[in-house]
Amino acid sequence: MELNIVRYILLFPLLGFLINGIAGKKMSHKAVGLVANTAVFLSFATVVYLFLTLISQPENARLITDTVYTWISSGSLTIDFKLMIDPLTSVMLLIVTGVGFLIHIYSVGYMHEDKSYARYFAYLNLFMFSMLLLVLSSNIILMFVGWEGVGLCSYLLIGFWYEKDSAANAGKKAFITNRVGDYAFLLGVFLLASSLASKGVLTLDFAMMAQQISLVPAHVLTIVGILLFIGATGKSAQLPLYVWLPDAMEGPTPVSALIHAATMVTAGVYMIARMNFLYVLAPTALEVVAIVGGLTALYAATIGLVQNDIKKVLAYSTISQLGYMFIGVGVGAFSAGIFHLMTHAFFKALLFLGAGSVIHALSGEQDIRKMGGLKNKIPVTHAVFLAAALAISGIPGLAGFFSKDSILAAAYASGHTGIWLLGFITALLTAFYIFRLVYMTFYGESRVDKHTAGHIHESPKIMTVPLIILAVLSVLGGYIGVPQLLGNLIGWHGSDIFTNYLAPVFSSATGHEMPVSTESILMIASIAMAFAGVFAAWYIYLKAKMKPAVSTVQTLPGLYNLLLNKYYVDEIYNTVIIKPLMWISEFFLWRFFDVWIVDGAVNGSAYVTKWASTRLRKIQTGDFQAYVLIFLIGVFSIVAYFVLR
Amino acid sequence: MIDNILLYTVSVFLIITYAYAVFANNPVYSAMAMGISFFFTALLFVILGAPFIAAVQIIIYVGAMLVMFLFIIMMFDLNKSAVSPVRYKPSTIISYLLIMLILLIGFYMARGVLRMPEGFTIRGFGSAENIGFNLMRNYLLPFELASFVLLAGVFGAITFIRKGKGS
Amino acid sequence: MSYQFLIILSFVLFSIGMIGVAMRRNIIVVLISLELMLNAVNVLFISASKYMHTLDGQIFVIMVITIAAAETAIALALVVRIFKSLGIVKIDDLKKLKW
Repeated sequence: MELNIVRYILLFPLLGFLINGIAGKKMSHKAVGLVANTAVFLSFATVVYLFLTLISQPENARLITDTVYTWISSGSLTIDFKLMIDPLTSVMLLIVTGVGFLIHIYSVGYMHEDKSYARYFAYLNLFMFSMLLLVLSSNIILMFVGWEGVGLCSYLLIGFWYEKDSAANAGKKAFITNRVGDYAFLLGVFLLASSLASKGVLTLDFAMMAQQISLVPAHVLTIVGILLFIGATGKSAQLPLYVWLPDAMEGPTPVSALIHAATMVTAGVYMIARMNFLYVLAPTALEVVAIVGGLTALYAATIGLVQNDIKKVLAYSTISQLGYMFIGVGVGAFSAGIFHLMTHAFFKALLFLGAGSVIHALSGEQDIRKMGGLKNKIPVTHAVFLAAALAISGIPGLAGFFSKDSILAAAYASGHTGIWLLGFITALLTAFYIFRLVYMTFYGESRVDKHTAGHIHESPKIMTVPLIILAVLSVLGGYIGVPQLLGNLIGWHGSDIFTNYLAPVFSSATGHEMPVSTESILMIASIAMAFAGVFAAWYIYLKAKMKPAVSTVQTLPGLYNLLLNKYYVDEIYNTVIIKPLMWISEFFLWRFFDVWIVDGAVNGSAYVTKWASTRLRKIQTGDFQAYVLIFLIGVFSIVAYFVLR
Repeated sequence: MIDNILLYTVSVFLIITYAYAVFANNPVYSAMAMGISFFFTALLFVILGAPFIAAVQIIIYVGAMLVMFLFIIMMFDLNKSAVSPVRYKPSTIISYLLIMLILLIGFYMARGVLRMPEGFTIRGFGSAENIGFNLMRNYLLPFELASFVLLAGVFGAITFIRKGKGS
Repeated sequence: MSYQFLIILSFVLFSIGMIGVAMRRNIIVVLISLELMLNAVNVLFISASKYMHTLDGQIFVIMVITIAAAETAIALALVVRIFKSLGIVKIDDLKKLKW
């Protein structure tokens, strides 16, 4: 079905960006916020309308396209600026515009004192535009434009407070790390395009590629898949390119919520889900995805155990949860991965916004060692934060439980027991670190500075209302994907609405069945793990007042420092990559190549010109007859040439 | 036959007047010799079947340019003779030798007798009528451009001669 | 009548004019010599026009005359200007445009 209103989803944020970017400085804060929020809301409304249109179609015809214009035409290769909505896209669109809209509203309250208010909302709208372009594009090249666009906005927003050196450096780090991934991504696209072209298929359109992909030999597909996945590790912060995400917390908190938790970092997962037709034919590449995802999940969770910055804990939690999503898509359970993407968007956005609310209340304090006992002072924030924490821990009945469990079940069912084990341990660690955060922030004795303690205040309504909405979503969001096992208990057939809805997109993926008894045992085990984590956190940080934690640190200082310093990965990167690069840049490229070769060539040519002209200008005698002589020599030469020829 | 005698006679006079115009001490004599040489050139043009050009030659060169030269010479008293009209120094002597060399090469290049076609039959070849038709049909654009060059010349001359702000 | 003779004639005339340009020191005479050179070329054009049976040569002469007139006007204006402001008549004194 062709519907021309799809393009308006993109148009509104772009307009908002242009208005705020160009005229924002002269507009009042109210007008700026109104423009930005209206733009995103209109976009959201369009998405909802199109979503309703989409689900009114029969299951096999759920596809809306919109060809805006022919973008690139070169020989027989044509790439259209074509937008596409299928069930997968529609889920992503709802998450991006919905969560994005809530965060926009929240930002109005959170950023109201910032002097670069218009710039903030302009970037935010530009980000929405890029992200929607990424999601909506119907070919991989257009997707890459959005892919780069979100990277740019991420850079701009991380370095939003560029007066701070750390923020500017974090922005650079994010951008450069992403470039490494993007480079591999581009190589993958080129390899895919050229191998398709060598079979006579000149297209980069997803739908067309899906039909013709089997022409490409499997080993090429494996390489393409791994290259694209390296691109995804950059954008979605997986090993080994995750290092930028913790530093990205230098940006404003709503930005962390929107970009570095809910939407942009999920682009890699989305991309792999979108390219599922390719990955299904490249099992080795999928294996790599699953293993990297599993390792990242455990790795980041262990770092998250000991961090003391409230946002850093959430950042490592995000990396860990993204690892879960990659486990999901890596074991072929694409819809489970996307489901977790959605629930994660709800509760992680909520956690970040809640953290922002805490920081706001404490006038900028981010260290959880200086919090505690905030439960009664900021009750709304506490309630929603607790809901999100329960959701992420996998407590039954909340969103995170359903999605995490379906990923783990799929991992086990497909025979990846090792990866299942990684995810299983991570589930315990997740519950532990998130409740460590909750207990240290909201419960126990107050460790807040006396100075700040005086004016702790609950955030204004404009910030708490989005929090409450997200809390409701975090609690109830999982019920659209209730595992069939549980659905059967109450006689609800087709209870996994989400998977069924996405099924047409992932038709090439094959599901794995396992006995009901095994699935039940796994589910009970993971519930037990979640409760164990919560309980351990409660015991260590609340009941025993951190004594066990302190004694553990004293008995195992090496391990503690290793975790606290994030396995020294930043230091390793610094020594292995950055230092040599800087050294080469300084001593070879600058001191030698630039000074001697480049400048030498420039100065040398200037010197030669000067030397030659001081001698040549003697010809300019000002003597008319001498000029005539030279003229005659010229005439003579020409005549002589024609005679002697 | 009469043509040939006339041609050779005119040529001899032409060379003499040219030489006098170039080597005369007094600029006024130079200018006068130039005027006479223009008359002989016009005669040559008539012999070569270009009566209209001959008329134009006399009108413009003699009527306008010669008068202009004489006017300038006399108005500013430029005819004060220098010690030696010709300057002898290495550059001019080498120039002279080069000119002679080029002339010799020219002679060499023009070797082989090329005869003019006899019995010229086209009526009114070179008449004002024919040239006018040609000028207005085939050469309209260059003709118009030439008029612009003249206009530019007029402006240029006025600008140079006027008392500028700088002086 | 010999075309070759006319070519050589215009060559000789042109050379005489060139000698004047190259060796005379009076600015006016240099200009006169320039005019003579142009005229020598005109002779060649007219001869070629007759030899080749076409009027193009004559048209070209008209153009040459036009340009020569404009050039003379400007050159003489310059001479007047130079004389009035610098008092220079001899071309070897005019050496302002050196390095």
